[in-house]
Amino acid sequence: MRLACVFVPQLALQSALRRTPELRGSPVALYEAPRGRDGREGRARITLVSAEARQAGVRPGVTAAQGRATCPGLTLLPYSAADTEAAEAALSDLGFAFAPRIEREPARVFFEIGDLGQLYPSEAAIAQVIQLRAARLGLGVRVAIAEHKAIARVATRAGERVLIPSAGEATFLAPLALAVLGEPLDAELAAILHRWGLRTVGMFAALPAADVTLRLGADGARLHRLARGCSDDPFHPTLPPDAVEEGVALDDAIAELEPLAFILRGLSDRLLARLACRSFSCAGITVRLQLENRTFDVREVNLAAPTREVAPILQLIRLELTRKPPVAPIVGVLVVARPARARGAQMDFLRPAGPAPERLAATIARLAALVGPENVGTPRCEDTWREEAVGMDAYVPGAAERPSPAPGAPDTLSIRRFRPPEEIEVMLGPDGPAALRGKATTARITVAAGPYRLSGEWWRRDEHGATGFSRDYWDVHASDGGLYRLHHDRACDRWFLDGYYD
Amino acid sequence: MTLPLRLLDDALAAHLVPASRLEHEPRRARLATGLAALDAALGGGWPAGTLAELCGRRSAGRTSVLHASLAAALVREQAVALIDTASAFDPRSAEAAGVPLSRLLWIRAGARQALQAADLLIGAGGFGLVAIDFGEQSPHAPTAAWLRLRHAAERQGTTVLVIAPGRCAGAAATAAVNLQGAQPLFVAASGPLLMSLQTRIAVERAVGVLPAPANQSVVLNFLAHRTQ
Repeated sequence: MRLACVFVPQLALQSALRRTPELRGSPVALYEAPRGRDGREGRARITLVSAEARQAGVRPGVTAAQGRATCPGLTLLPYSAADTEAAEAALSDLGFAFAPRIEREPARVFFEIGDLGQLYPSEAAIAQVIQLRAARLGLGVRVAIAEHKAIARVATRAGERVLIPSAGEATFLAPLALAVLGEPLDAELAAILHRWGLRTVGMFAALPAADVTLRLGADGARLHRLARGCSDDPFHPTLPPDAVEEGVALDDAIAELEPLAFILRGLSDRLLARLACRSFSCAGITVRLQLENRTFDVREVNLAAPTREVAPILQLIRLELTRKPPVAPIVGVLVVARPARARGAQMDFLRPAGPAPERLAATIARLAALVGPENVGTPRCEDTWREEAVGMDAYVPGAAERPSPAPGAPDTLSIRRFRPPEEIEVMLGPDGPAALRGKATTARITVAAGPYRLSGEWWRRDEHGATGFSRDYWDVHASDGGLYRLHHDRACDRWFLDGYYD
Repeated sequence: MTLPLRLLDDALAAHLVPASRLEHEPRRARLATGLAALDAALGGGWPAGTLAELCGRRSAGRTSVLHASLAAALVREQAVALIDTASAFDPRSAEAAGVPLSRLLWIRAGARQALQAADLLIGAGGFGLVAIDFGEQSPHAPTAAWLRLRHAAERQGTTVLVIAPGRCAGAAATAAVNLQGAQPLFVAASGPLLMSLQTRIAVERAVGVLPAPANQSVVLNFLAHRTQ
C-alpha cells in the first residue's frame, strides 16, 4: 500500500498568512503573549518566523520588540487558534481531494495513492499535483510517498518532495542525520546515541537489533526498526466531515455590515476553494456570529442550487443580515458550508442542448440572490380548490427526464391572477353583479356568468380561527373591456377580484 | 446577353424579389408559437435567437398566447424561463394550455429586476425561450438596455419574448405583435356561460419576413377551460 504524507511546515504561521495573503514574500513573524497566573498577558515572544524574516536575522524566542529592532520591516501577526484550526481543516480537504479516506495528525495528513496511478503518469506527478492543489488553498506543503506511514512521516522532514521506492526505505534513510527520526527519538535517547558515536540513521540501523533492545528498551527497539525501514504503525483512516467551516476571531468588535461583508468574503473564498478541492459545490451556508454580549446569532442561508460562486452567496448572506441585523457588535464569525455534489448531466444527441448544469446552478443562485430564494423555482398546483393557491418547488435542471403531464390545448383561454385577490365593491342587479369598483378598475358589468360555487377545507383552521371557505365565482365582462373573474366570499360577505382572462 | 424582364415566364417572374424588398437581415429560424394562425402571420413563429414583443391591453389574450408559446417551446424540450413581474402566473391555466410545470423556471421579480434577471438567464446559455411578463406595467428602460438584451440573446441563441401593454423595445425588437379588439363569447344555457375569447392580432413588426406582414390582421380564438 503506497501512502502519501502531506506536511505543512510552520502551520500556525501559514494559517495566519492564509488570512493575510498580501504579506507573503515579506518578513513575517508570529508572536504569542503567554498569560501569567494573574491572567495578565506576559511579554510577547516570537514563536515562528518566515524565511524572509529568518534571512533578516529574526529568530524564534526573541521578544517582539527585539524582532522589530533586528528587522524594521518585520510584520508581527498574533497566533490564532481559529486560523490554525481552519488550516488543519483545509489540509484535510486536500487529502479528501485525492482519496476517500485519510488519516490526520497535527500539521499532517496521510492517504493512499494506489488508485491515483490511473490518473497521473508517475508518483512524482502525483506529488507535484498535491503541492499545486495545496498552494491553491494557501498552504505550502512537503510531500513524501512511501510504503509505510512512519517512513513517509520521517521523509517529510528530509525534503520538499520525497519519493521512496518499495524496499528502498533503509537505503533512503541510511545517510540521513539521526534527528530526522523525530518524535520516537526523545532527547534522552538522542544523547545516548550521540555518546555511542552514532551520527546517521544508517549507523544506528547497523547495530544488532537484540542488543539495541537489551540496552535501550522498547522505545529503542521501535526506533531501530524505523531506522531499518520497517514500521508497524498502521494506517487509521477517517471519513470526510459532513460540513466544512472557516472562522475568525476578531480583535475589535464589528457593528456595521460593510466591514463584516469584507470578512465574510475572505471566509467564503477559502470555504469554496476547499469545497472545489473536493469537487463539491456549496448547497447552503450557516453563519454563526459571536456577539459582544456573549450570545450567538446563527443564520441559515439556503441556496436555490449548489454553486461555487462567492458573489451570490455573499449577496444572500447580506440580504439575510440586512433583514434582521445582529443585536450586538460581532466579535467572532464562523461560516459553515454544506457540501453537495455538482450536478452532472449527459446531453442528448437528439435534444436541444440545455444550459450547462454548473452554470445553471450558479445562475439560479444569483437569481435567488437578486429576487429572493422564495421567488425562483418551478410552479406547482396546490391540492386545493382555492383557485389562487400556488406553490413553488426547487428548479431541477434535469427535470426533462421526468414524465410530463398530459398535453393540454394551446388555444386555451388563460387567466392572470391578482395575488392576493383584491377586495372590491360590487353593485348587485337582478341577474348578479351589475358594477364593480376597486383599485384595478371601476366599470359597469355588461355580462355576468355565474355563480359557480366552490367550497371546502372545513377541516382546516386559519390564523383568524375561520374554517374552510365557501365562494360564489362569477365571470364578468366589464365596460372597460376586461373579462374578470371575481368571487363573493359567503363567510364574510365580501367581494374579491381574482384576476382577469387574458 | 440579357433578356428584358417582360420576356420572362410569368411563373419565373413571380419568384423574383425586387432589390427594394430584399431582407436586411439573414432569415432567422422560427420558434413556433403553437397557434397556427399566429405562426402563419409571423412567417413560422417568433424569430429565434432575438427579441420579440407581444403587446395588448387587459383581456386582449396576451397571456393565452404566452402560455401557448411556453408550451410549444417545452414540447420541443427547450429550456424555458418566465420572469413574472406581477406574480400573475396561474399554473392551472398554464397546465391546461399544455405547459409541463415541472420544467418551467418561474421567477417572480420586480419590474426593475426583470431585465437584470433576463440578462442572467441569457448569460447562462442554453435557454430556448425567456419570457418577460410585465403585465400591465410599461417597463421604463433605455433603448440601450433593450439592444444589449437583444445582442446577448443573439449570442446565446435565446429567444426573448417581452409581454407589455404597449411597444417598449422599439427597433431592438425583431418582431412585434399587438393584440386588440378582443371580444368574449358567452353562450346562453340556464344563464350566460363564458365560452371563448376572440382577439385580433396585428403584426406591427416582423424583420426578415416576406411578404411584409404590415397589414395582416388575424383572429385568434381561445376556448375557456372549465374546472368546475
